[in-house]
Amino acid sequence: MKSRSDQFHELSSEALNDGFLREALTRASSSFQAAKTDAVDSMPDWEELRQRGHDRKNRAIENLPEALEVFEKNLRSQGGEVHYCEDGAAARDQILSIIRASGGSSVTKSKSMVTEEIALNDHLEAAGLSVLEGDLGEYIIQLAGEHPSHIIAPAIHKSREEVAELFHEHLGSDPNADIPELTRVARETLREAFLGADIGISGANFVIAETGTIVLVENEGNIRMSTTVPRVHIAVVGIEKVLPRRSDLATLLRLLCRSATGQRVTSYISFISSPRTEGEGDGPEKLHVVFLDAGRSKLWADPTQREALNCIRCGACLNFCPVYGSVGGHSYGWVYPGPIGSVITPNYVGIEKASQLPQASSLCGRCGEVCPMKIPLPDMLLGLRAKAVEAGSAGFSEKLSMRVFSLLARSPRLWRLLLALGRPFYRLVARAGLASVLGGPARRWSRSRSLPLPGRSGFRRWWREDAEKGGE
Amino acid sequence: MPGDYRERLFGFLRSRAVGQPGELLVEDPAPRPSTAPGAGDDLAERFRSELCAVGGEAVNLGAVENPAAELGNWLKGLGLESAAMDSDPAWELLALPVRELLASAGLTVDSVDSSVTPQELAGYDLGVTLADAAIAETGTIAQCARPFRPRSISLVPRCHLVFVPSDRLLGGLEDFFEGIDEGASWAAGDADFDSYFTWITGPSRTADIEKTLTIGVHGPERTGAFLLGEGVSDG
Repeated sequence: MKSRSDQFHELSSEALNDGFLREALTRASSSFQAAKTDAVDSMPDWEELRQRGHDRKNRAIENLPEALEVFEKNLRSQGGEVHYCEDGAAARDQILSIIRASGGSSVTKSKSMVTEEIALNDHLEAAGLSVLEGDLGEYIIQLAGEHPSHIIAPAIHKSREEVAELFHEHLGSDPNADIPELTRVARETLREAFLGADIGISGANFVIAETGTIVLVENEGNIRMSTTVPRVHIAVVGIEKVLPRRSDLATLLRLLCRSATGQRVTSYISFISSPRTEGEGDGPEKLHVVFLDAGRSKLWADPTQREALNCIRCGACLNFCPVYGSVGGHSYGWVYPGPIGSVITPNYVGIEKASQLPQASSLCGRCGEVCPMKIPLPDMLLGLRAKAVEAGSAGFSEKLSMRVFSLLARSPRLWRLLLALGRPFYRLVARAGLASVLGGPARRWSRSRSLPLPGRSGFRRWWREDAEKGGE
Repeated sequence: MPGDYRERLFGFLRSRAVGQPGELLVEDPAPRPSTAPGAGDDLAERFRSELCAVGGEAVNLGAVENPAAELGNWLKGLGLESAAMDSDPAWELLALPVRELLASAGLTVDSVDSSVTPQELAGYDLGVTLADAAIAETGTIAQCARPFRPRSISLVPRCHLVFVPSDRLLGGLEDFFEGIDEGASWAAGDADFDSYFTWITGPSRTADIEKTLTIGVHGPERTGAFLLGEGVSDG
């Protein structure tokens, strides 16, 4: 998918003026937050679990070449095939050649951020294949010609009325259909597609080195459909998804499900280690894992960023992020939104094309606190801000103001003088508006913000007087 | 050329390796969280309450006077006409005559094996299976690759009815993973967890439109689990 991450300011301004989106994000964030909080509160060992999850995932990431090799060896010996692709183009070609070799023409897909990353649908459709998304949210945005705006709730930005209109237009259903009816319509349409599909494409939540297993976590049953009915199953997987041992899943599945939706486990979890076995009548005859690098090995080689690969895509950092909660997923301009998106997007598409994203954070620290894998997201965002400046993202005025600040901060006298002079000026600005005092360029800042009126006496004076009164 | 990138990738990763050789697969048993049920807990009750909490239905037949009546009650309200039952040889080991009970509830019952297609199974109202394992901590049914049981029998019919032999009911997630690693009685013989298995926890669900929970998307809308007072594993 083409990145528009350099347009965060424009995209987020649009989003902030979208009343429905604001309402939808508020509803979604509060419901996700409540579910996760309940799920974590009911688990007294949550912190131990996080630590263990972090340690087990780190074990695989630190031994990545061995982990991939062991996985590959095991899956191959069980009858699966493994491919490695350097970038999106290579992965698209690889997938298309698998499909061509199978002679199939119809594809059902399950929700997968990696396939969004490589814009797989467009490529397969351009090659004349029929591709249908099986996850309800993905199906909705496929019909609408849009992209997901949340890692686990892709159509969170759509109202039921918009979905009813969309289904009416494409599927001829009742334009006033309610949510259960819309779900029924999708079920019927997609069921036909599932039962007729030649190829099923999925992502993977985890792959297990020890046993050569692909693990897929879902609630709807579309992944089971795509990995049971078609003759061929292709799993498109980032090289970072590997875990050492199958028994690690006890920890990782608890962390993922509770953090994502607050469920103890989701409705369905599939553990696929081979094509259908002898004597079985369904399940795929061919099983392929297409590993995608696309910037991951480069990120892996950077010790300051490596932990971003521990992400299990639960979406908790989005759900608890005040910035995501205001601007929504599309503002981030690429596949991965929220704090984790602000970390991995600059790494994958290049910091110079996404230098605004690390700034899309108040550094309040909630993302780091809620991350089940203990990824130090706030620290990483700060590190990326520094990288962005090194890459030349700071403009003349930003550099100048930082110089001035640095000068003042190193000279207590100058600092105090400026504070004394600044107070009346600041009161004037707060009363009259920044733009009317400073002129045109300040408008960009002041048109969507209001300055609080400062107190009459300053902090230092208050501190002194308070100390004289015997305060602590 | 395919294959080329593999070499380059591994070359690059190895040149920057950070882990210790041999540590990847070292055994590192997970501590059991306090929420996982252990010895002395009522596993059947925990399973029942967990499954019911996620919209499934569960009955402990070992604790009721008349199992046949319980099963009949569950079937009654569902408007079912046809059932596909897998050809698990373990059905014969059960004292409970499941097939006869389904027939006497008015259902047409077909035994199916691996020759049935998902398309054919989609024509049935009910899929009937035995669990290979069940996990009380989460109300989960586990089913692995079996020649006598199509994978889609628990997926494409509108409802899924599953029976859990008492010797296959486990406590927590760790018990399950340790059991398959160590070849516990329920994971031995032709129970092939190393090729494929699936966990089923309640009915199919979605909240993709306005975060509103809706039951029954692509999979079954009703999942009934009946815990048996008897076991079947001989290992």
